[in-house]
Amino acid sequence: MDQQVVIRMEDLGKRYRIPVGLAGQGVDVLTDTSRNAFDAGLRKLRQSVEGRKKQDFWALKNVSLNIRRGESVGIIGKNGAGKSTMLKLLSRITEPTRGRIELSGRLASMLEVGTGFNGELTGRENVYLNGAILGMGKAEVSRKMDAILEFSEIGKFIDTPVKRYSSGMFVRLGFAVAAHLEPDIMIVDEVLAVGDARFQKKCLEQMAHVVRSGRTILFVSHQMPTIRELCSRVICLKEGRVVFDGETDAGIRCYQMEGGALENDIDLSGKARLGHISGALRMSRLELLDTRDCVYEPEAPIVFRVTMACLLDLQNPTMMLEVEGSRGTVGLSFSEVFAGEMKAGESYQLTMAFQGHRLAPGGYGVSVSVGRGNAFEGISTFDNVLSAFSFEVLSRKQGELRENWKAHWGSVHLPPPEALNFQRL
Amino acid sequence: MAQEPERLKTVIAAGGKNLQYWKDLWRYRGLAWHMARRDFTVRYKQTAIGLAWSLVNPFINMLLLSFVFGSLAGFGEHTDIPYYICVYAGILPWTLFARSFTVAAGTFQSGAELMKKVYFPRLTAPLSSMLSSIAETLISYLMLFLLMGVLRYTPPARILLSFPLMLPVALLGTFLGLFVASFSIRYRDIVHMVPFLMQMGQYLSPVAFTLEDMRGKLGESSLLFHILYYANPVSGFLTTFKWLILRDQSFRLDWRALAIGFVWLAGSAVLGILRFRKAERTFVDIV
Repeated sequence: MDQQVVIRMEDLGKRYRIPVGLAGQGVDVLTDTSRNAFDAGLRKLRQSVEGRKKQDFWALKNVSLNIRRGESVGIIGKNGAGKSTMLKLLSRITEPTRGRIELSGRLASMLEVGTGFNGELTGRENVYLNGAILGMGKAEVSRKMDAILEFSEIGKFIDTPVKRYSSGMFVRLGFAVAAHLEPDIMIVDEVLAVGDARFQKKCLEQMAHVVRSGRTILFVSHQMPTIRELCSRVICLKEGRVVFDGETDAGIRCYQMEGGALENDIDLSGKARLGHISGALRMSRLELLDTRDCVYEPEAPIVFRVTMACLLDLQNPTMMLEVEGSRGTVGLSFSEVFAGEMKAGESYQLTMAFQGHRLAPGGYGVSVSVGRGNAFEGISTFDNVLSAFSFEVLSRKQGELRENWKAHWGSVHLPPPEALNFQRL
Repeated sequence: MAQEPERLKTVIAAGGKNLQYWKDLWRYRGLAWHMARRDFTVRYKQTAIGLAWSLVNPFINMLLLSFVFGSLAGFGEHTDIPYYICVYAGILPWTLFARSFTVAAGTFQSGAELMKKVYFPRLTAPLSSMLSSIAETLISYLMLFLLMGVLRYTPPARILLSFPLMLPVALLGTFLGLFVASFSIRYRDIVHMVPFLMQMGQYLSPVAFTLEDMRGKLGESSLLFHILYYANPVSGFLTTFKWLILRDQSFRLDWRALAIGFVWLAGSAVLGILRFRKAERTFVDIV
């Protein structure tokens, strides 16, 4: 049976307006002396009345997602990718600029453990207050008080003002309240990064229990092991858009590749060169063609174009490529003589393609160098950029073997050996 | 799954729906209660005399105003009611109004930390503060009764009506405060103006004097009196409050002033809530 959709996001977008020219203002403040502070105040007043120039910034854009009951979904992405914005919209802290979200069931977010704790109140008073903030009734909290107390290991300090708590106690109590709230949808943001190892383990177990009990959980974390352990689905965000939505391992790989900045138009001129290069030629730009996010379906050709400036007359240069897996394990090398003659002072563009490459799903980095000669006769290198570009091979097709590819299966997906003969002896 | 429990449906959309907001506000009434209790408890924790501060504060205020208006300006000589009680009868509702106004105006500042992290209908915060202000006023009544006992003054039975009158007074302060709060997000200047405004208001409202006093001093048709009468939102309620507490033949209920008070209440309710609702939607993005 199709599971009920508990979170439905449609064309969700959140726009922030950021004032431009803030840097200039900073200078204003620095140069203000007390003599013209009044003028500055007037200027500020005028600015605030007239309104400063604003620039639009979409923290989240065109996001449409369905999350079903019982799913545990990891939301990952680099800082600024839009994760927090998504959570803020879900937990109704701020309103979307566009689109809508439909939630079914009670949602509780643990954007920060111990939110709303008041230092002057005792642990017990705070539990009631916190429960109320999270939407629990008094009777409900009373019913769960014992479980909360036991889980938090606060013991006799429960009637002490929480300002006298250690930070560990504070966090434990906060987590205990939230973990026992039993909402239909739970949003957890990095809370598992707190407390000692034993308590973290306990929290993880509690989370796993919540997942097993059929509730829906959204995790935001930078800790991939936690995501791997708890999530059955991963949504990877980049610059406010969903760049990946699917199986956990593939999503994590997608995220890890993000670290290498998956750009499809790379300026090579500023990149570091390694080893001895003659400088007879210099690569300036590398573009990955026919892709926006550098993610390719398996066996889809990876086409790229290198722009280079020739400084000395050259004959029969060779393009050398080294492909590395994201874990730095597998190396594949290729070299290809690509041209006849190159004249000094001219610029050239070379387009190449990996056809039928059989790379397994995963992230890859490619080092590019141009030189002359080959591995047998010795190579003289003109120019060489390590990890010049990165790409990802990823199957988005449901039910394909390669959609569920595990990293330890290797980096090359070869056709399986054929059974030639099978007979009873 | 036939016995599928009915699930709460929430729609979060750009623009937002109002009906859902009011339902939420009702759903979160427990939180309002808890917050009010928290405000109340925390205020007196680690103080030597605790709740007694709710008695001492208005008492000292009363002495001060009695000195300024009674001894220096010569008010309150035409009545046989002890002037202290006259003043205290004005301080009670004024303090309630001022406190409701101040906390409501500061909603987005004092609640920012919490509001950045969890959702609740933001009106819950000022409304809960209002509840704790009312509770505090109830305690301040003790000082009134104490004064009455010491000064041998018997109040009229209608004093009981002053208890329900606390609600419109507190609401008026809250709604006006909400209106101000909506501007305080962008212009923090307002936060600095509020205490000053309240201090001025204490002297420009019928707290230590009555509208009757002013009618006599300024003249019925003078501009100043009109401003005091019509443009001061609390005048009507303060006058009525005093009338309920003071037994004075010359002092009659001013229906017109009370009606004006309710007009202010209705107007500020509409404006305050509308502005506040508009501001709360995205205030997290600005703070």
